Amino acid sequence: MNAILQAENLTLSIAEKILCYQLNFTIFPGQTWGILGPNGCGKTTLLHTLAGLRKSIHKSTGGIKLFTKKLDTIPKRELAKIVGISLQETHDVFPQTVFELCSLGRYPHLNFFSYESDTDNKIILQALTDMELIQLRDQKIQTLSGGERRRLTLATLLTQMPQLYLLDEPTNHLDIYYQIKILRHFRNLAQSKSISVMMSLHDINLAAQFCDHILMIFKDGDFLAGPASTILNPAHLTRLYQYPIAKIDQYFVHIPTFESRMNS
Amino acid sequence: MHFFKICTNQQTYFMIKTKFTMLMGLLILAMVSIFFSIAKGSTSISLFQLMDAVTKPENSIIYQIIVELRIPRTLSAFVTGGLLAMSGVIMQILLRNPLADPYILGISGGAAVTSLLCLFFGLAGYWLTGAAWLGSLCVMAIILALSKKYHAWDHEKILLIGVALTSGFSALISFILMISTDRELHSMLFWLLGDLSYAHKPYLESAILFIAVLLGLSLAKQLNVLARGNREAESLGIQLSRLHKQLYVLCSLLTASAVALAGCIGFIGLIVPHMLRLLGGYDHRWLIPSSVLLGGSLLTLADTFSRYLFAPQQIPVGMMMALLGIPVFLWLLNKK
Repeated sequence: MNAILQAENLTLSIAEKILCYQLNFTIFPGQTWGILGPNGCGKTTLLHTLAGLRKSIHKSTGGIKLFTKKLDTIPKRELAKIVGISLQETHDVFPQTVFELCSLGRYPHLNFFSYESDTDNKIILQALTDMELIQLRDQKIQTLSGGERRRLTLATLLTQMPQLYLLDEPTNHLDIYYQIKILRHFRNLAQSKSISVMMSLHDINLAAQFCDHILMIFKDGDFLAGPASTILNPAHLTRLYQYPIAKIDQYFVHIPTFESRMNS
Repeated sequence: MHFFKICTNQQTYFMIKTKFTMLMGLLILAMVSIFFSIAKGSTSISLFQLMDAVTKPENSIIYQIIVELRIPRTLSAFVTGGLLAMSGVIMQILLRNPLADPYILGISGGAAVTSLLCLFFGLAGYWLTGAAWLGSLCVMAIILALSKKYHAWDHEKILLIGVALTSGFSALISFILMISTDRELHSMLFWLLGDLSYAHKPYLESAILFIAVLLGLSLAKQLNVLARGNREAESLGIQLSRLHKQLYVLCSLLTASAVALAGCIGFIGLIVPHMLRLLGGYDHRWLIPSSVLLGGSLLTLADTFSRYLFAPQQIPVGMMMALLGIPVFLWLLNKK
């Protein structure tokens, strides 16, 4: 199968400071990637770079390929159909309804003159249903709670329907029910539609249960990438967070029982 | 129109119907305000006389009043209001700031300095219009040149530049007012408060408004996305730097033509976008035409009152606009 995204010797920096050095990893369809790392290690910078929102430095020594094309050669609008990102924070200044905001995700798919069609509306309503926002669709976004806003950002991303979803701390502001519901939704999406998801997380428990691949970015700029089963071990986690982690055994929250309850 | 065919879907149908009703309501408001403006003034004209004059135009004084005075004046008021309101809509999105108005980046300040200099040297008519254009375009060029330094359109920096320029210009304006004689001061004050009595036949400005509405409509979907924020817009496929430049040039030209036509009419470019947003319009595909209609209607009504209430004494339309508009706006703001 062809890789969706390939990062080759990618070096990230912010304000002249190098965050991670010569990253190499390849994302295939169907995979769910989790990015783990301490605060300020460059998780967000990496996601922004992969979404084409920043330029990676040392162009000659590294780059990002989407399918077979170099990321910076793809026109913005085409890129928006391949890669979508949900940002960590949103600042909405102007009043609009949940439905109106969610419909903006369809922008890359609309022609110059066209209005949202029936198909577009179905996609928008489906995304709102998936994120359990359908009852709020005519409400002003200014009246939403933090968790509802987070779900709205994710619903907007769902309407964009990219092939690679980049989620920057998607579980922020969410209670445990929605954390699990949303991560399950994106993981199932990746597996059933053969697209890919890459997200930054702070919760190792969630990463262990929903991500099949892990990218660890260490404070010193080093990294580890690969299947979760080989990457997630006490030695690596201790080095990653500079905090002694003795062993990984049963999950902190017993989600298997939760899942069986959801399925029954 | 082709969007009616597509929307068999309940949601879209409802949304479009509401927006369409709103647009129709504004169109009626626009026609009523235009009629009042033509009929009312130092000489009142009844509907009957109006019909009479239009059907039998020969050597009728009323016909001459209408064609030579009232229609150009009404058109000037409507076009100025439309220009300012649309410019306000775009400027608020461009600076992502609900407090932004067409004058916030100093365009009116630049135009005011050149226009007052014109009045100071006793020049009027086309000189005044030309000077206002020159002043606005200079400021526009300065800001464009300064914004080139930043990789992306940094609205906070641009806003600071604009505020700094505006304070600089207001110092110059005060200086010109200080050294002017009483006779010049009167017309200068009228210009600064916004006044339509100098307005010539606004063919150029009408054409600019018409083209700007078309351009604005073609950029409307991008405006919707841009309102979310720069990063969000870029991740949805917007070419930010190009869009920012296009929008900036567009709203500068709108502001410049309004200022050249009628001086500094404040307030309208700030409140009309908010009024429409309070009424439920977020989508710029509707907000742009609606803002032109509402801005045009409000300024036309304000101008009618300013000519009519204290006739034959005229008061500057900018003053009347604020007196009429602020209570309406406060009421609307508290109602929601």
